[in-house]
Amino acid sequence: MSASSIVPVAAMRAAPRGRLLRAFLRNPAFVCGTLLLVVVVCLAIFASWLFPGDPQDMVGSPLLWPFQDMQFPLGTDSLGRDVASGLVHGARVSLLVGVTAAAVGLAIGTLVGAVAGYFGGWIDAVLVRLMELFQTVPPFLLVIVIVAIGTPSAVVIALAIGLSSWPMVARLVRAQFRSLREADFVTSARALGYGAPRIILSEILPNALPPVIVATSAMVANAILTEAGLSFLDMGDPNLVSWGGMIGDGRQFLRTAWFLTALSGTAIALTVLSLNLVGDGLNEVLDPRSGRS
Amino acid sequence: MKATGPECRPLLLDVRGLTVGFGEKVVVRSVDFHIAAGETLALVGESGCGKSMTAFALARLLPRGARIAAGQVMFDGQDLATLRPAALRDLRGNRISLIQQEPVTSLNPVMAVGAQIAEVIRRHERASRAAARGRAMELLDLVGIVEPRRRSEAFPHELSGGMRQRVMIAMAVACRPRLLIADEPTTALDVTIQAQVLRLLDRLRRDLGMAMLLITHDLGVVAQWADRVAVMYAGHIIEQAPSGPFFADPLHPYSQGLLMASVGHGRPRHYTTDRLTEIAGSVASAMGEPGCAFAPRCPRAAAPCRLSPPALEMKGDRRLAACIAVPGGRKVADAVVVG
Repeated sequence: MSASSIVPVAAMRAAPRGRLLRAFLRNPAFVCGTLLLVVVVCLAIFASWLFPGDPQDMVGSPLLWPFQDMQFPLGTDSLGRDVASGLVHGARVSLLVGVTAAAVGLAIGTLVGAVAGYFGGWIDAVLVRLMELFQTVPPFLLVIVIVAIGTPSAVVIALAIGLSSWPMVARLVRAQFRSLREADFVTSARALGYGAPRIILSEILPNALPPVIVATSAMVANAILTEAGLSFLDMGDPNLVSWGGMIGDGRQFLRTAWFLTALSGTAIALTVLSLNLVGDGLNEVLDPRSGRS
Repeated sequence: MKATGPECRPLLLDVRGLTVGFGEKVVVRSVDFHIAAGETLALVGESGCGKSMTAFALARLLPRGARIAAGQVMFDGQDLATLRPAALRDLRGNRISLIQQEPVTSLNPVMAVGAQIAEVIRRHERASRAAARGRAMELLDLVGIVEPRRRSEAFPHELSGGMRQRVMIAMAVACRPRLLIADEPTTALDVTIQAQVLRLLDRLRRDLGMAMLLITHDLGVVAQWADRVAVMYAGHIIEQAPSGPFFADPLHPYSQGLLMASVGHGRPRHYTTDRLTEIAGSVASAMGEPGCAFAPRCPRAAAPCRLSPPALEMKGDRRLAACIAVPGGRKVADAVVVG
C-alpha cells in the first residue's frame, strides 16, 4: 500500500558504503561545501591556539586597514580590537549556537512529529495545531521575544532558536511517519507483538531519518543567520564576539572602514553557503529520485 | 498430512460471525470458521473478496479505518476481538504469527536479519542476548538458509526474495506459535521458490505442531497443502469442505466456476489447445444486491436467489455451502459442529 514511500530508503541502503562514498566524492558541490565547513570548524576549534587571549581586548590602534600592520593582518575595529581574532573566535560562537539550536529543534521536532505521525487521530490534531501556533509567529520575532524575556546568553539564544525551528522538523518527521506506519515491515513488527515505543524508535525512526539529516544542515545555517541577526540588533551575548555583532559594530563605519562589515559578512556567507552545499549534496546522494542512476 | 482425521483434534480457533468494515462499508460479512490444532485451512477467493481482511482481523492488525464490527474470535479460550491490547501483543508473534505477502518490504531494511529474529525471541521469552543470537542461528538453519552464521549478519536487501521469505518464516515460528496465518506467502515469489517455501511451511507445521490458516488464490496450492478449504466471495464464506471432496465435487456454483477456470482441475485440459472457462461478470456486480452476492454471475440463479442472501448450510458430510440450488439443506446451527 505504501511500498513506494519506502523504496527510496531501501534503495539508499542498497548502495554499499563504498559506493555511497564515491557518489559523494563525485558531487563537486558537496566536496566544496565539506572542505569549506572543515576549514571553518578547524578555525573554531583552534581559535584560542591561533589567537590566544581575549578577542575583545583592545590591542592596537583603531581602524587599521587590512595588511596595513602585519601584526593585525585583517585590521582592527573602532576600538582597536583584532578583526582576525574576532572572526576566528566568532566562528566558535556561531557554530556552537548553530549546532546547539539545531539539536534542540531536532529533538523537539522529531519527538512531536513521530508521536503525531504514528498515532494520528486526536493526538495528531492537537500536535498539528501546536505546530501551526508556533508557525504563525515569525521565527525571528519569537527568538527576539524569548531572548528579551530571558538573559541574552549564548545558551538562551541557542534554546530560543531551537524553539522557533522545531515545527519544520516536526512536519517533516510527521509526514515520514504517516507513510511508514502503513509499511509492511511495520505491520510485521506489530504482528510480532512489539508495542508502539519499540516500533517508533527502532522500526520507523531509522527509516525516516534521511530527509531529516538533509534538513539538519539547513537548520544549522538558519540558526547561524538568526544568531547573527540578533547580535546585529545588539541582542547577542555581550560577553562573546560574534559575526553578527561585528557587523553591527562596523555599521557606523560603513563608508570609511567598510572592510569591518565585509569581512564578517563574508564569514557568515561562506559558512552558510558551505552548510547549504553539504545539505544539497546529502539530498542528491541520499535521495535516489534526484536523478543519480 | 491428511492421514489423521482432523475431527479428533480440539478446536484452536473458532471464529463466529466475524464482520469487518471500513466505516459503513462492510468487507467481511458474518464469517464463521474454525481451525483445529495442527490443521491447515485454506481461505481462497479472488482479489478483494475479503480473505486478507479476515486474516488480519484475526490478529487485530487491520489497516487504519477498518475495524471489527461484530463477531467473536475465540483462540485458546480467549476472544481476540475484545482482548486487552497488551495481552494481545503478548500473543502476537508468540502464540499467533503472521507471514505477509511481500517478503521484500516486510523486513526492517536497516537491521541485520539475525538481530531481527533474536529480538522477537527476547520480546517473548526470557533469553540472554547470546542465547537469542544462538536460537536465531538455529532458526535460520531450520528454514533452510545455508551458512546461517554469515547470513545472520546480512541486511534484508542483501538477500533474495525467497531467502527473505524464509527469514520472515523464521521470525514467525521463532516462539513456536500455535497458529500461523500465512497471507499469500508465495505470491511474490518465483514458481520454483513457491514450492520450496510451501514445503518448508508444511514441514514446520508438522514439526512444531502448528495450525495454519493459508490465504491464497492459487487452487493448486490448496489442493496440495490444505486439509480443508473455505471459499470466500464478496465478503462471505460460500463453501467449506475438506480438500479431497471439494476438488472432486465442488458444490457452490462459484467454486465450480473457480475450478473450471484453472488448469489441471476438473476435466483434463491443455493450456495450449483448450480454452479455460471464465466466470462471467465481476465481483463488483454484486454491489447493492439484496440476495445472493453471486446471483448476477451465477448460471443457476433463479428468482428466489435475488430475494435474500443464502445461509451457509450443511450439505452432506462435513460440507457446507451457501446456495439454495444445492440440495441437502440443513441449518448450521442445528447441525453437529463439523470438524
